[in-house]
Amino acid sequence: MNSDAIYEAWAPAGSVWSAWTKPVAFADLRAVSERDVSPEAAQPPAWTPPPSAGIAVILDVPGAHGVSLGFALAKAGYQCVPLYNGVAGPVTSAAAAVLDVEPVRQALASFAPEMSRLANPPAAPPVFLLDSRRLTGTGSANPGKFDNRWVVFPQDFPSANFLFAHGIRGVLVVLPPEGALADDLTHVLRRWQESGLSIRTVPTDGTRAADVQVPKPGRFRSLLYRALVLAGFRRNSAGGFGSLVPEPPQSGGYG
Amino acid sequence: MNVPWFAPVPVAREAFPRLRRRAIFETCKWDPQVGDVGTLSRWPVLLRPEEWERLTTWAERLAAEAVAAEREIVRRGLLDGIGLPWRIRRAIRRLSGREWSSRLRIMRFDFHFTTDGWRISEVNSDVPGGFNEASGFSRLVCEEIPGTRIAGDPAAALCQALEHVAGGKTTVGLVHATAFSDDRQVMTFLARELEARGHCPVLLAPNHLHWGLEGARGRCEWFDGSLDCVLRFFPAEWLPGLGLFSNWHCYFAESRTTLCNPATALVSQSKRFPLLWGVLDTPLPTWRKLLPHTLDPAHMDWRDNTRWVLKPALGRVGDGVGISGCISERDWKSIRADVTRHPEHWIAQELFQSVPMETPDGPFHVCVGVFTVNGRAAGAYGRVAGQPLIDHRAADTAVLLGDGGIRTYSPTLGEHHELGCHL
Repeated sequence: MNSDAIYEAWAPAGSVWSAWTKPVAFADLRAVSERDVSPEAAQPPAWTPPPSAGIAVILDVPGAHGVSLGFALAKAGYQCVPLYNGVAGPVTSAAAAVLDVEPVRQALASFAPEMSRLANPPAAPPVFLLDSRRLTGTGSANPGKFDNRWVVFPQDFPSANFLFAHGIRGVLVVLPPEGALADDLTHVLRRWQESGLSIRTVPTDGTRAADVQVPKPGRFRSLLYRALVLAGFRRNSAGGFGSLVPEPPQSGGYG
Repeated sequence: MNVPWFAPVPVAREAFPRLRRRAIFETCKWDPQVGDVGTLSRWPVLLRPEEWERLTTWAERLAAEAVAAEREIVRRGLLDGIGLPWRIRRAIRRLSGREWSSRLRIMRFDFHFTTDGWRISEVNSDVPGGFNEASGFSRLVCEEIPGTRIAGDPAAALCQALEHVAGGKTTVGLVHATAFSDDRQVMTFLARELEARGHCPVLLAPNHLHWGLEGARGRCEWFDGSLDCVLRFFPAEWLPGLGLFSNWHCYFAESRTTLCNPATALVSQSKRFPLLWGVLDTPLPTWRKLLPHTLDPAHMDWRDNTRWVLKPALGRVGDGVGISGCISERDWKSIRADVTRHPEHWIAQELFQSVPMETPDGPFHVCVGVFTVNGRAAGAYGRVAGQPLIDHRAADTAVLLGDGGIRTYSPTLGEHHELGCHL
């Protein structure tokens, strides 16, 4: 399968949600050998809402795990919407990238043949796929590195109105164990919650599922939020989103 | 009223999904959706050729006038009051009194058809975007609507100009915010164009450049070498954020490395540029004709929102623009508050009445962005919106010219047939 076909497998023309699939992860994607789908990958977790429940799922988990988990939910009747927006590193030096996106890209290619054989209805509820390492990266952000960390913005998702119009009444955010809602994602969730969508979180191990009141993030609904994010550069991350990413290990926290 | 475009002819609805995918993979259009809105329109702007001639003539004059005005402003150090950060002003003042050249300049002038004829809303003279759309998407749309041709190819024009300046094949640093896929897509598209012509493009972040007597050198984990040219797609006002030891001021002066664009372009990029016209020797007749009246909000009453548009001095993509009725009441209130507190960061510009392009899908307000490369018109792409404010929610569209009868495929007839007006 070439890039186009792999993309088509994850963003089928008939699906209501395909338009939001981010193309970046599929650019210049080469087919990998079709791998055996492991039994674990094929089974949806116990916390998976039935597709008829009107719940959109956000998988904010590390790397390729989100792809395999998304595939499992797709087999349960969901439509995957990959939102991976981290560009691939230099062809000659993939290790130079701060965020290693290759496992995600490989997973998308690996599962594509199986995905293309699923026949979910066009209105199947969405499961949005994010990489929880998008803000921190997988390697050091030293000078000389290719900084490909990324953030999500509210406009990367459908609006609350669109979700309601397509039968979605609530959102389940799946996080790593001990994980917390990422700052960039709270901008999205807060807007949805203010519009009447219920928000619930659950760790991947299924413990401590809870309804949440999404805190109001800084610069919420600021007219220039997007511009401010992009302009918040720091010396050590001139290519990325310095105001939202941690400083190098010696200082920690968000700048 | 005579409109400057032919009756609209769309890409067939059945053909559009495939076209969208081609745009993604062939032209690196990686942002085809923003919120609930698709960013690619199936309605191209089909300009009458005499209107295109008019726009290109104006764009070339505007470019020449802008460059001449920039030189005078820099030479005389007239940098106060145009909304540039003090570090930027200091960097530019270092050039005062010196001769400096700008070997490779690209600009994009945004034209709107109004009840008073064509007007421009702004120039993008620092980091103009739209190459993927003008050179790539437009070509794809043109294939779907026989009888049309593209208005030009700014990516190819840029490559040709680079070859002319450099005298041959070059190593080009494409400098951009690497984490931002919207910028990366532009750089990747241009890199492919450059590579196809035998150049060596290198995708870099701005902090990967090191400056010396020999010019700029790229130094990072995947490249270490001198650069013949730096194509910058990183807004100049962000450069001070690179830090004290990055020599970011080198982006402002021409060096042995050709800069495109030198960061002094920020002078004309600022929406407050017109506020200096009264003290310049440089005549700017085309600017005065085409840009709506622009004033300093500190010295006038801008509160009549039926007459004035409020724009941030260094705003881009229509972000932060205040047009009553086109933004939420909350955003309008926020803008008015900031203009009151910091008028030096804003301008008030006379509102024009955009004449929309009528289509069966509804009226679309149109912006035609005309590129110039070293002062020569080089192509265009369009943006369309259901409201007069063209911002990040607008859709990109092709700007095409007719070439004989305009024909489109009719699924009902099962063949191409002629629609719209003949030339």
